Amino acid sequence: MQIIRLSRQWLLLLLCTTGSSAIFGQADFNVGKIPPSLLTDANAVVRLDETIWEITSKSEGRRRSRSVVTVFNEKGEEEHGRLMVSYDKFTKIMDIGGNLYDATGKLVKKLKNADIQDYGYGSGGDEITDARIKVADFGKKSYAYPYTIEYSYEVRSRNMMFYPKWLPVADENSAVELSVYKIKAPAGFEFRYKEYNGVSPVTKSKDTDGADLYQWTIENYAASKKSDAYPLPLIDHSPMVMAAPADFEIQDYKGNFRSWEDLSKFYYTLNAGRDMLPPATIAEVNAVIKDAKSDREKVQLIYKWMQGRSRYVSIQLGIGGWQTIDAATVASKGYGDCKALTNFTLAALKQAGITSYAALIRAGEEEKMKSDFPSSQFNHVIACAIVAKDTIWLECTSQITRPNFMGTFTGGRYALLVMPEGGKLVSTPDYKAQQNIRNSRANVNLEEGGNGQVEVQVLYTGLQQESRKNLMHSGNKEEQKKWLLNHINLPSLELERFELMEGPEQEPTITEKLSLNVRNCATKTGTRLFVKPSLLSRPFELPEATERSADFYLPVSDYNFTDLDTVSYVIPTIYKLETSLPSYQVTSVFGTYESKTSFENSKLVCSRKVILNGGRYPSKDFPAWIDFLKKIRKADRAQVVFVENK
Amino acid sequence: MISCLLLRKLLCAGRAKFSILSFTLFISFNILAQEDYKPKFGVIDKESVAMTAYPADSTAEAVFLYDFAEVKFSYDSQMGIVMTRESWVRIKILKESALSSASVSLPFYDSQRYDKKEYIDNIKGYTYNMEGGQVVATPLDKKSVKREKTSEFYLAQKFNLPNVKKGSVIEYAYSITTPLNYKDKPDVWNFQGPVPFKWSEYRITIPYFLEYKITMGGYLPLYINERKQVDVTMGHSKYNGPALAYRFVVKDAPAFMDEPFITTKSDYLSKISFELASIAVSGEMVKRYSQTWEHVDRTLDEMPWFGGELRKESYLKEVRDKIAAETQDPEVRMNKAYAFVQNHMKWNGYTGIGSKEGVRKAYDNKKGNDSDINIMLVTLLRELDLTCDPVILSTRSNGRIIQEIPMLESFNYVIARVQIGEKEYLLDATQPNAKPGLLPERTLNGYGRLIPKKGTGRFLEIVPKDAQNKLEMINAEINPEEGTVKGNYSISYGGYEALRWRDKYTGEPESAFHTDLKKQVPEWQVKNIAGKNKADDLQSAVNVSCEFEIESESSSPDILYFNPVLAGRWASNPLKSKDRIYPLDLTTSISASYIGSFVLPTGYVLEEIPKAEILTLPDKAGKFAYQVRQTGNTIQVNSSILVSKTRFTPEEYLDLKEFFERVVQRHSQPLVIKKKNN
Repeated sequence: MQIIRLSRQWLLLLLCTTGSSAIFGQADFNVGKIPPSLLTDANAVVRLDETIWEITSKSEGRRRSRSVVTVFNEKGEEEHGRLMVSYDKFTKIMDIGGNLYDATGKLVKKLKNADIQDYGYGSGGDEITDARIKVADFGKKSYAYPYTIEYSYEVRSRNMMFYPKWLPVADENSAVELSVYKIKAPAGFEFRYKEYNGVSPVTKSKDTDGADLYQWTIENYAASKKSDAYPLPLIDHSPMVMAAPADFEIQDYKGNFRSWEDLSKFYYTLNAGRDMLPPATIAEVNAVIKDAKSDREKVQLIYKWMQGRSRYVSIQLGIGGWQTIDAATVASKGYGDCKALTNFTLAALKQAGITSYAALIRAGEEEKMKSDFPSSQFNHVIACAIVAKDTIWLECTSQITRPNFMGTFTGGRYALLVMPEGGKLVSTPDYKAQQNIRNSRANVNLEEGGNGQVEVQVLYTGLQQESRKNLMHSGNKEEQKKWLLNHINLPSLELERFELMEGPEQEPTITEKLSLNVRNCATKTGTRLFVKPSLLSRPFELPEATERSADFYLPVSDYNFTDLDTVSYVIPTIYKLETSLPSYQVTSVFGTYESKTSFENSKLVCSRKVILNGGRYPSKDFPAWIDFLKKIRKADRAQVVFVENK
Repeated sequence: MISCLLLRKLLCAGRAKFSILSFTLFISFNILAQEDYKPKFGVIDKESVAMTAYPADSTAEAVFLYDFAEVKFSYDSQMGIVMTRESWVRIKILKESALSSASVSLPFYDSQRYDKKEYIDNIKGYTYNMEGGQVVATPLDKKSVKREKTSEFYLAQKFNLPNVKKGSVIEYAYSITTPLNYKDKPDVWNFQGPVPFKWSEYRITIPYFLEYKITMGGYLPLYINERKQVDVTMGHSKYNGPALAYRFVVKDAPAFMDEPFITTKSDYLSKISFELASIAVSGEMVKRYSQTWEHVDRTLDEMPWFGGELRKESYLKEVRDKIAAETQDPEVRMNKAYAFVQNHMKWNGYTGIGSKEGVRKAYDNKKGNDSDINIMLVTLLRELDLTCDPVILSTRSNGRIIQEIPMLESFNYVIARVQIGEKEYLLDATQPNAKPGLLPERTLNGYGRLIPKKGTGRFLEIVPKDAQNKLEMINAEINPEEGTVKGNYSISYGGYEALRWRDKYTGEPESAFHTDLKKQVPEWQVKNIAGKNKADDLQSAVNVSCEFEIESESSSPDILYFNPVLAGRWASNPLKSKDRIYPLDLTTSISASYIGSFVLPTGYVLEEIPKAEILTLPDKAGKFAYQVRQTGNTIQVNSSILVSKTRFTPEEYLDLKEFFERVVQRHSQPLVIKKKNN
């Protein structure tokens, strides 16, 4: 998926928030000094981690970081052994340093220039960018565990749209002895911040030079014990401080982020006047919509036209990370990043007389943002057309998406409409269980020995059609076949034929047809035949833990669904039914499960219906969730037993 | 010597994986009868642009209509001998997912030294689209080509072709100049890729004074295979003279499909690769590079990073003396030396022939590559008066060694071989959890070459002594009235299974494997999990055991359907494809056994005992035995799967698949237990 790099600067910072010697001086890093309570289950203990964000003016800031981490094993080393600091045209690295101490706290190595590597940010791929990254580590030599690594660095920033975010316990397998975030600002300088998830309120003071000091601290935070099967999103449970400018300047642009409206306005200003289309393209647009009967149809036609004549590329140079390439360039080159393609689409919609806006969004499956803290949390731009008070969302970087389909990439979250005045956060369409359907019908012809010929037809809608749609539009027949083989829930099979088809409706659907030859489709033992009613159904995993103290989260991208499966077996006439016909019904706050079986005229018909609703659930519901899963698994294990007529 | 025609035949039959193209035969094969294809840059046929699907692979996302490279050598007064590759590719885009092939990044080497850096020039490109029934060409704007420094030694030229959409044909060309001082041979050329290649052509003109060994690999036949003698002007009189001009074409190559159980893709791809054999400029001394295996052996011995390192031993004196004082027994000495190096050194994850900064330095750093660690081991063992030599090999991911083609650069790994009396031991001390002789899977790639202290080396087959051994046992009581099965469960991990287990859990808290065990059997009530011999004695198996209770799922108390393969069940066939193109490589042999013993309360009987099954693979390659017996009120279930052969041909694939299929089938069969009618 394609994401702009708006927040790139601080992604890396999360990995390495650090501290300053100015305040704490040279401490004793003897491993024996770590409080014993922090040692349990920790791969590493962050001894000291300090970030000082010094705002020198509206247009410049300085970030100093120092971190001292004791690592206990290879995993801790992997997590903390390396320092990564990114930079670009707006950010300059002033200094990088490091020390390594043995278990007694004795200094054994200092970081040398040869230990620091420099890479282009897009070195792996074809992305064009001027962002770079410096990577430092002590990897040449092996040190006996435990040992302690200290890194410090200083960065000067002239991109004051972003202030560092503080997430001191982002790595849950490391304990934190002391972590501090400080913001230093000229006396009376206005900026904004907000604490989340249990961070103690700010301590304000004055520095010796009269500047304002803001400080947040976390102490003696133990590592969490186990891997959590259903973790809450990080920003919903991990201690965090967000900070953002009030007024700022970048290059020749001035802006402020006091509200979402301000942010919207700034983005608008930065990109205004870049939507002029060349006459030839205007003619194209007019031709595309000339027979359109409604505004809705115009939007659909323009979107399809745009998809057919352009493709996504990543180009991030200078302020281009935030400012779009103009529409005329996109028109002539036929490519652009998300900003540019959106801008181009908006220009065409404008030409057609359709009201439309760019919308900033945090894209990606299960990506979350804080709507109560206006700041640059976005990584993507999409288009939003307004037709008869209704919105039509347009993902301009995709050539295969249907208009208004947002799915797991941009659905069910906030987007900020970009307007000269009155810009605001709006919700994008949510995808509920009843919209994400798998409806399957399987006909199975069973042989006496248990082998079966299976014909399946499945209709997928909503989020459930996403993976099939991607499969259909990429890869060749062999690759598609391989993918399907790995996603059909059977112990062994031969996929004789398959077909994937897109539905003609505006709401995307995919129909999948499969012809399978299944050995031991039913299990034969002696004179009996064991038949599975839940053949081909989605399996449910059971987690290892049975209780928990924290709330849990079932990602809506995986857990909002409706499955309707029907399997019809033709049972060879030499068999008669031995068992009763299974029938189950399970209801819970999470959803419902229902299975039914009937046997008539040698035809065994098994139907199964599962509706699940993902989302956040309180910890007290966890036993009910486990119970629900166990009951479903038990019902899915049910077998219908036939025995030979004698 | 194998002539080229013969080579083609062999390739057609799908048998010969390689061959040497002889340099002494000055014959050229002009295949006049065949249809040739020589397009012009910037000129496209309408048919290609109008095409909406590729007939040979109707759902391919793209097709390389033309993939061309031509390599020529010349002399530059500042850079010395350089090779220049003209590359040219023409791609038809058929699906949206292939649009990104129009975003191009061309990496090249950078250096402070003028005679070591590469240059990319003459980047040009076009996009062709159908517009109103006409082909419209849009050229690549030179200004949109960006140069980026991607890392200390690499630059990249990056560009996006304009106006690319589904249905477009794109083409671009460039030339890359490489001094021989930086790289002494042309890059490998692949005739195949992840999408179909309609025409893949490689040309190279090799001047008289350069001798390359050329290797063909893969399974596709050459459509054109030409060689001509020509005269070339190199830019300096002593280099001018005769040259050999080769032309190789593979036509209609299908998309390369990855299959499970292979060593590495490149072993199966159709490709051509080069190795410099000698430089013989007239009037100068001939410089020979590894031309025969004897040369390879000698080169290695002479190189400071290999032979030189083997002759340094002072840093090991202390440990040598300590072990020597402890024992005279050669096998004990070997194990002690192995354990010492294993514990002292940490493998840095890199593979390579030869030490990078010296073994002594690695010893002080306690960290190094495979060569640092195993050269150290060889040195120590030799100092302890054992017969020990290094064995060089190529790891699985590095590709197969071709014994017919002596090439030092095919190798990337060193292990040690010890001979004690008649016994041979192969040792690799890079793995902290491996017992002596248990070679990591990456080294199990056919053959290695032994480099003795004196004299010529030889090839030896690297056969793992250990298998993936797993033995699972269940002792339980079935209680149909209560609806429970209660008992204990034990697993014994040996050989590679033990290595995997130890690699995963050594240094982890005890709870880690408890959690994983519980995850494997989520419905069981598990208690008293115990692990024995987790890391104390690497020579022996790891044992894990627990007690358990399961709710049985009988539909009525009178009749109970019960799958007795409670643990170690093969629930699905690992071989999914209907057929197979490439040979199958399982790396190591497999031995998986299960013994279940269930006590029934009185009054219940086994209604039907499944028939015993013994299934063997041809040539004793594998055996599956399954048996259920009732003795008194005890039901005994035995399942044993043994696959002793590790490499299977495509022809043997179906046998192996069927073998696994029968295992899955047997393992899914329930028993039927009934209450006796009184």
